Amino acid sequence: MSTTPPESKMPIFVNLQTNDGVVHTVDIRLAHQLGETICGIMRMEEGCYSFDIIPLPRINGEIMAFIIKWCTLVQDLEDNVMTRSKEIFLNLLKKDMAQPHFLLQLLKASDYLGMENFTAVGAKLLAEAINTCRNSEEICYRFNVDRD
Amino acid sequence: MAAEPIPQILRLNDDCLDEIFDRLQDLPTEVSLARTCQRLRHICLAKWRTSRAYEQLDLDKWRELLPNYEDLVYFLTQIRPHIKEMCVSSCLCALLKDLDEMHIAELPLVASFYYDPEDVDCYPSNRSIRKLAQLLPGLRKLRLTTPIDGRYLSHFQHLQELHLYEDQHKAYELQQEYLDEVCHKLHDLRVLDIRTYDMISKLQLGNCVQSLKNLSVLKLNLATLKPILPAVLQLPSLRQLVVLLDNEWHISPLVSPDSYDHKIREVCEFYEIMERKAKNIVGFAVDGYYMPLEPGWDEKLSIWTHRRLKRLAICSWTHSADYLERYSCMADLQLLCLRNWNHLSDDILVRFVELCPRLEHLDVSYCRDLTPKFLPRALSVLKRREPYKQKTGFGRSPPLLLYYDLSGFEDFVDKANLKSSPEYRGYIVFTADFPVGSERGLSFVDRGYQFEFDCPLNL
Repeated sequence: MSTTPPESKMPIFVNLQTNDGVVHTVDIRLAHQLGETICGIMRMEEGCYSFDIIPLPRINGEIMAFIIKWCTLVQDLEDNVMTRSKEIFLNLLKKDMAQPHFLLQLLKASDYLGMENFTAVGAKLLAEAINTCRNSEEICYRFNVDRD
Repeated sequence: MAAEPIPQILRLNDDCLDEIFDRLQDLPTEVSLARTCQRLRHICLAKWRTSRAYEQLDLDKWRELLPNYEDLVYFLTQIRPHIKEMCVSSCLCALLKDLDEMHIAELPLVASFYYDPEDVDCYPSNRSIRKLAQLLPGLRKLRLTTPIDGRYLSHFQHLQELHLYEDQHKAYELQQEYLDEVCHKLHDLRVLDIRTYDMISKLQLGNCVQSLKNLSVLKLNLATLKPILPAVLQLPSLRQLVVLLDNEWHISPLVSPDSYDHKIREVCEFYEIMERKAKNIVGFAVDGYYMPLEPGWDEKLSIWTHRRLKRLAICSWTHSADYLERYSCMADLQLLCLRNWNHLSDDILVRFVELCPRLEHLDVSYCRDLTPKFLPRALSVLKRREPYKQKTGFGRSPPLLLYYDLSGFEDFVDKANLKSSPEYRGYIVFTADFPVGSERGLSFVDRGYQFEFDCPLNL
């Protein structure tokens, strides 16, 4: 496995490959925001970062692109982080005209990656959707749950 | 989010569903979610259980949280097998009727039931006690301080603790036959409190003391103890005996009422326990107001030979504090309670801190003669003994808990904010409360005395 010289001033990148073969190259600083799964793999290399590819078999390219976009926009937030993270999340969903099931896929992906902040935002949105339901019947209808 | 269908939520794993549950707005929403399907019901029930918020049944509070009756019944039905405690202040009869209507026949895991009604006229009937025994088959601890005759108490087959005492007037006490039943049938009984506050107790244990082999704590009136003291002291598991002096007592007709001192209480049982159990006594407490023993009363006790005291509470004493100094030879002392001493000095107290290295609780509430100078002196002793206690990585003994309510240095502690002082951190913790297990107020034990024994059979 190749290594970059520690004194080098070149920016360091990490390559993430999703299950559809797409490779996402991200700055090392951003990669650290992408959750414990990726951080754990990077740590295994003992701080010697490389240009080898990190596989993410449970995530597709579209989901990964969304997560990277979101992380890029929230990584420098300092005030009202939760509120603004949620706003950015919603804006991205609207902009991408994402379907409702896309939110569920995002939540599954963030759980897989171990991204607590992202999971919190996604779970909050789904909880708010449940909170608007007046009773069990509405929840079943809204979330396509078979009553038993 | 717009109110459009979000399909396939059940495709999320349990961790994700847990995260969503944590963000639901209130209990009615959680109940609605639980009522959708089996998987979500399991998620909700697991969260209700692990949150521990519903381990104690509080029907009044749950009625407020779930105003819809059907939701309340559903929730209660789901959480029923996991409820562990009940603390009831409303009418017991009404509560049992409500649970009946909700078809709640049994709460199998409830181990503790505490009944303290706000309405003083709400006494549980025998029928309610019987129903309660059916509702709580696994009950271990029962506190029931309203007047009852005791019928059906023996139906709590697994009962380990029975607390019937409160320091208030009671119209009547247990009937003897039902006390006998309790003692004979409840083989797991470990704690029995049958004290009666404001009359001479007529309860007798003569017929049943032999059945109390597992009893470790016995709290009773002196009148009940008198005829069976030797048998009580032979109980193999006994480790705590609390005696309440009766509020009334017999005065011999030959005694002149003008010269009879009403504060002289019967003390021969106290001395008898001191002698017979000297080698096992690891603690005793006396209320000096109701038992004003003469100075030097303890000079010739056998406990000096054994020196095993770990807990000592002598409260409301009017003697000179010099008489206290002899107890500083008890090097194993862990708790020292000297509430409401008239003449307690800083010097005597510092001696205890110096000579009792295991001291963890020092209760000087109401000791007005103490001065703020005691505090730096005590701190200096503790720091000499363990100079590195405040540094991380060093093995630490617990700090000295100093109970200082209405003591001579109370104002100083509060004004100098010593509770947060870095100088005292790790060495002394100041608290305006009272030690756990003691009565609140002027005495550690109220209107009587208490002994603690080192019981070889006590596991």
